[in-house]
Amino acid sequence: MDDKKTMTLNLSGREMAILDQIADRKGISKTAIVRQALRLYQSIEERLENGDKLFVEKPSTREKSELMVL
Amino acid sequence: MTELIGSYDVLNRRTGDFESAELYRTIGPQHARDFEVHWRPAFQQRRARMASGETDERAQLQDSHWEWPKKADIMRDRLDFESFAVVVGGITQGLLALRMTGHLSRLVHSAQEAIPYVELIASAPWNRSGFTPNPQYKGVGELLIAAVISLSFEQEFAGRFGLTAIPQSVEWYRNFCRLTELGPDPEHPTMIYFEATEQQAKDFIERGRSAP
Repeated sequence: MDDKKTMTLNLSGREMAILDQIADRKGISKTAIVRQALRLYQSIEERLENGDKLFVEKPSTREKSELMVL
Repeated sequence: MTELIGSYDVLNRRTGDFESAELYRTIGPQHARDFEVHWRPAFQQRRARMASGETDERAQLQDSHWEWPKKADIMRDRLDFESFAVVVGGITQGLLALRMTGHLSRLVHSAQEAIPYVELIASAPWNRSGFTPNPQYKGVGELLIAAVISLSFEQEFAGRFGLTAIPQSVEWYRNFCRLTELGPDPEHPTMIYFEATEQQAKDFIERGRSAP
C-alpha cells in the first residue's frame, strides 16, 4: 500500500542508540518507530494549533504538568 | 489522495454472481458524494418505513447519524488516520475510518502496546439483512477488515487492532470475525469492545483465502 520514499536520516550516536533501544523494546523496526513518532507529532501539533493543551499526570498524586512541544 | 489498492470478489446475493469490488485507501470526494446521494436517502427512507416497535438495532440504523463526509474532511492529510472505501458497480458499498495512534491494547499479554483502532466501519445500508429483506452485497465488511489487518501488518502492529461495536454489529465481530470480546468499553459502556490478536488476524485472512 502507498508509495514509499527513501531518505537518509542523520542522527547522532546517542540519538541512534535511543532509536535502537526503543525499536528493540517494542520489537519493531526503526522505520516503524519514526512513522509512529511522525503521526503522534502531527496529531499533537494539530491539537495545540487548535488551542488545546497537552498534559502529563502522575498517577500517584494526580499532579498534572503541561508538556511543551516545539 | 484516494488510491486504488486492488479488486476483489464480493457476492451479489440478489443475482448469485460474484462481482468485482474495488478497494480504495483514503476516502475520497466520490465516496463522500455517494454517501450523500445514495446512503443518506436510503437511511431516511428506511427510517420513515420503520414498523411499530421496530428498533434502530433491528433495522440496522444505529450508524445512520455518522457523518462520513465530515469525517473524511477531518481525516484529510492526517497521518494519524487511515481510511478505506469499497466500490462495486460504481457505487460506494463500504467505508472505514481507522485511527493509528492514541489507542493501547487492552489484552492482558499486550496491554499498553499501541494498536490501530477502528473508529467507524459501515457497509452500505442496502447490504444489511436487518435493513432490507433482500440485501445486496456480501463480503464488503470482510474486505474492509482485511484491509485493516493488512495495514496493521504493514505498519508493524502485527495485524492487531481494536474496535468498539455498536449493538447491531456485535454478532458479526463475535461469530464471523472471531475477535476477542473484552466486555463493555469503559469509554462507551453500552457498547462492547473487541480486539484482534495477531493469530486472530492471520486466521481471518486465512479463512478469507479458503472461502469458496
